[in-house]
Amino acid sequence: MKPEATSFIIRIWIDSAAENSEPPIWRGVIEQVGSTEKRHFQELQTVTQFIRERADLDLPPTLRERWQSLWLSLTHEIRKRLPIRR
Amino acid sequence: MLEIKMFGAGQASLGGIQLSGFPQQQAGQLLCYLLLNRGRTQPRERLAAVFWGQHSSSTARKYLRNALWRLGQLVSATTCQDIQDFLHISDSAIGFQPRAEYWLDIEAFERSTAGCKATPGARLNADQAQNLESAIGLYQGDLLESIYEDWTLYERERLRLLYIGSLNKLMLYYGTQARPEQGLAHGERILALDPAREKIHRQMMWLYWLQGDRSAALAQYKRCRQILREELGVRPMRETQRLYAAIRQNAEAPATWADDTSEPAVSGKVPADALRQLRSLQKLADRINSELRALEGLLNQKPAD
Repeated sequence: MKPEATSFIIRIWIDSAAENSEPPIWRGVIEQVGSTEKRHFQELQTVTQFIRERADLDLPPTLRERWQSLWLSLTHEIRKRLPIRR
Repeated sequence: MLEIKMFGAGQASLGGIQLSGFPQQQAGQLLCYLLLNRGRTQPRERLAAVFWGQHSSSTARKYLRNALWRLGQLVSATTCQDIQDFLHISDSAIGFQPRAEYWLDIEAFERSTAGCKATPGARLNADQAQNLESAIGLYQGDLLESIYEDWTLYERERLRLLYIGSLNKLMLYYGTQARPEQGLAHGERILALDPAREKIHRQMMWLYWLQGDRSAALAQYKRCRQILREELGVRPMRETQRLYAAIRQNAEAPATWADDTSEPAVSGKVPADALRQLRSLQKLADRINSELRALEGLLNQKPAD
């Protein structure tokens, strides 16, 4: 039986020096709570892919559309705020 | 005295006698939740929803009464004390008694780090460094590491950040105190948690260089390069490559680390725009949570095809 919900933790940090004149590079790691599965990322796409692989959401079509639109708005908002590579 | 260790697997003892089933059983987890929220009494409805949210309100409240009763039994069977010596219990709310005789590792940990929050690692004094050493000695693993309930996640991450920040401060402190070997040990502890932290690799290269061990510094670069390739598919940053080149050229190691940003991520030194970004991300997270709740509601109404 599939679990009703799953959680993910995303940690992000800047790895470049504070006094560096180059734009900061954000990196991160996403992990699934309760498992040893994790993946490092420097591009947001990796986050989405990791969740899709593990959440395996079996939704009716209308809810799937809503879920996808939620994802799109989430990644759009994060891209606006953090200079993580697209 | 009630002694609770919440770092690592978790352990509790009363009068030196271990409380069985802590923290795996629900009574133990209820105590953990109240300890994490000490100083604030919790309405019974909230506790019932946190632990038994999948049940009806009346059933959830019954389970809460049962867990509380079991906790009382556990306490009285161990030392003949009353649960009310530790908990404030009323018909509407429950909370941890602030006047109870207790020792809690996460509280001691936070107390030890509190005086160093605004001080970069290189500027710590000996007392502050000793306090940070005491703090990291208490960190025996992530908070309640085998419990994956949602209510543990935020605190687990917050304390983990504080731990990593403390280790990083000590790395730089020992570097400037000409005791690089101790700094290196702390760097390894950070990399054990996350081997892809390039800045920590750079600081370790500097510490080896300070120690006069250029070959170890160069080996650290190679280790960093390999991890970045495996985990992220990228090469080290230019500043890491520059540091590698300087070590290869046999230049003299600088006595201090130029990039000492070892304070915890959220501090008074964070630029205002970064704080604004954090706040706006928090609002976004709230919005997403409410969307997810709405999705959950819809899923409950209509079973999947």
